[in-house]
Amino acid sequence: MALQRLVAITSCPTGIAHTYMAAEALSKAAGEAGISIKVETQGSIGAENVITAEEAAGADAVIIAADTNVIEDRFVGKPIVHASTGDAIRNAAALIAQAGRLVEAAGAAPVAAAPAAQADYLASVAAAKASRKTRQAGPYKHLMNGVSFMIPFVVAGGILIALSFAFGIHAYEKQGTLAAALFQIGAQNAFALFVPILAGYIAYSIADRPGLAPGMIGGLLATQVGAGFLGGIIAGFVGGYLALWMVRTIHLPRSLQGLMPVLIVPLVTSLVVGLVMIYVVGEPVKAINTGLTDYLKGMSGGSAIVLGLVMGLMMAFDMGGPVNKAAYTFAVGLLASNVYTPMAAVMAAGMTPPLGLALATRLAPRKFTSEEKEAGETAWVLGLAFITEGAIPFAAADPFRVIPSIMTGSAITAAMSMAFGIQLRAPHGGVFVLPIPNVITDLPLYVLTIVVGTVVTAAVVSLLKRPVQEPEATVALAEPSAA
Amino acid sequence: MPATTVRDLIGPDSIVLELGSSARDEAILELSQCLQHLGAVDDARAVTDAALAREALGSTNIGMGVAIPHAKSDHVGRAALAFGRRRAGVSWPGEAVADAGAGPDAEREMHSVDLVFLIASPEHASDDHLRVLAALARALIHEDFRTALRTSPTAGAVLELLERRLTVTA
Repeated sequence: MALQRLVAITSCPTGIAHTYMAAEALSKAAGEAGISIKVETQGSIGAENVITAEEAAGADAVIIAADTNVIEDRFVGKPIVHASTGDAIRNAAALIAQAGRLVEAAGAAPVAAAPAAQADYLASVAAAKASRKTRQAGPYKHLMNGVSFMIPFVVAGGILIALSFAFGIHAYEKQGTLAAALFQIGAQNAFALFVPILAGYIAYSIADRPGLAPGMIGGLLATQVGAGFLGGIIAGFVGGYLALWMVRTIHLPRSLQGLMPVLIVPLVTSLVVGLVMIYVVGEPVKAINTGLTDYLKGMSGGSAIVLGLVMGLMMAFDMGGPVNKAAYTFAVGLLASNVYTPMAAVMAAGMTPPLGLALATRLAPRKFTSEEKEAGETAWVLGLAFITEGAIPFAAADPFRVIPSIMTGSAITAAMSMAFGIQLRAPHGGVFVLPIPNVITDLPLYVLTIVVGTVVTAAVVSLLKRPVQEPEATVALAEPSAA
Repeated sequence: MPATTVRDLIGPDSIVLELGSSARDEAILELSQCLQHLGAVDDARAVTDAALAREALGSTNIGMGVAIPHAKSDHVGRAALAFGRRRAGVSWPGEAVADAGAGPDAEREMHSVDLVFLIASPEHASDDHLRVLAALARALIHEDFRTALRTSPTAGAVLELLERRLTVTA
């Protein structure tokens, strides 16, 4: 097997000169050697001449001439030559010769099947992954990008809040204590950032750099108008597609062109997204919130079980959005009137979404990405601490399957809690408040309702979600000769 | 529709056919002063310092007798390019590795250059001049381009050469 088709990536830290010189040197040397080459430049202009999945799959070898970190997951199983841009500029021919030797070495050992077969397998997996990626193009890919940037914020913030509760559920209210510091880091900062990060990186995935500002600003507004992560998703998509549209369609005279990226695009996109979040999203959100609160108040005279079902559905619907807040503030408000059953129902219903999803990652691991499985581990802690946000990474990644599942589990939990007449006198804290005497009226029954809701959530989500791994395996079998 | 053209960045007054200085720092200062006369930068000394700070991170002597110092500074009003030649060479510490490619460049000493492009960018530059610089970087790889730079008789001829070879077709 001789080297015929090469792909290469060049990248340097400033991205002004070396990236392009290395690219040109490789192209020139390959041309002289009669080898076809495609060089992707990752410079300050952004990635150009991008290598597609098919081109990556069809290449005999890869040269990475970079002084920065280049993501190589497109090239799994291919012989890769690593070099600096300086090496490529000074001696591109030697790098190409080295790639040729690697290709020959891989081809010369077909009998010693193991490595070659493995390379083939890896290549077909890579091809399958690539084709799966292209199928996931569009909104789903953008959503996943936002979610994966958001997860660390949810995890860090949630665990820090839980830790502050470990000092006692009111400990954080005392200024200057460690508990107050933990709460400040977790609740007021990490949790304040995660919706903007979600929105920002959805928009970044859509429109590249111009999307980040409108996405993040819109995301922060989503939290301020009380629209929660669903509002953040709206901000991300509106900001991203708006920025993309502007960059693609607006052509200014040359003299003004320089103003596009630094002034016009960020200003206009942020303004439009901001106004959309305040007037188009914010106003209805307020109306939904007050309308639902009134609705719950009207129900409080009727059936306790129905009230429980409704509160449960609401708690799990948007986790921090207007619907969830209406249920939560309704229950907290009743504490002042010495009515304690809705509080118990609401807290249980807020604990089962992360707990149920954590359980589901164990029961049906094939239906979750590895990133989600890791998030599942922390979701246990967050669920136990009544930090419903622990479920958001899962819900944001696959809203139409996950949200109905967690709503089912939460509704059943809340209805059971109401049916048993369990009373809770603390407005938050999760398991941390349960050992405190007289906070909860019937601890064993309360634990049972939470366990039931957790199991129901896990069962429904495992049923509804589609496997993550299987399509990959099918495609790999269907395209055995992809490499 | 390229936003920035070659002529937006460089003109006959920022092309020096024979630099006066044989030392790197002075050569950069000489080119910075050209840009100051043109009004592209307001403090040649500060721009030189910025370029030298960049050199300290890693030499921009890219071999083949070429150095491309770059300065990003608040003292740069608009993105600009200056070009200088010195037949006898400007001493310019390069990277340690020097297993040099083929051609007459191989004989050239690794610590000396005869072609210098100074790139000056404002601190908060828009990106559109980068395409021209990318095209310049690509062109420098080709020996015929370097030879033409070395042998162009006038600043006008250098400018024409740059325009011909760096026209961005994006």
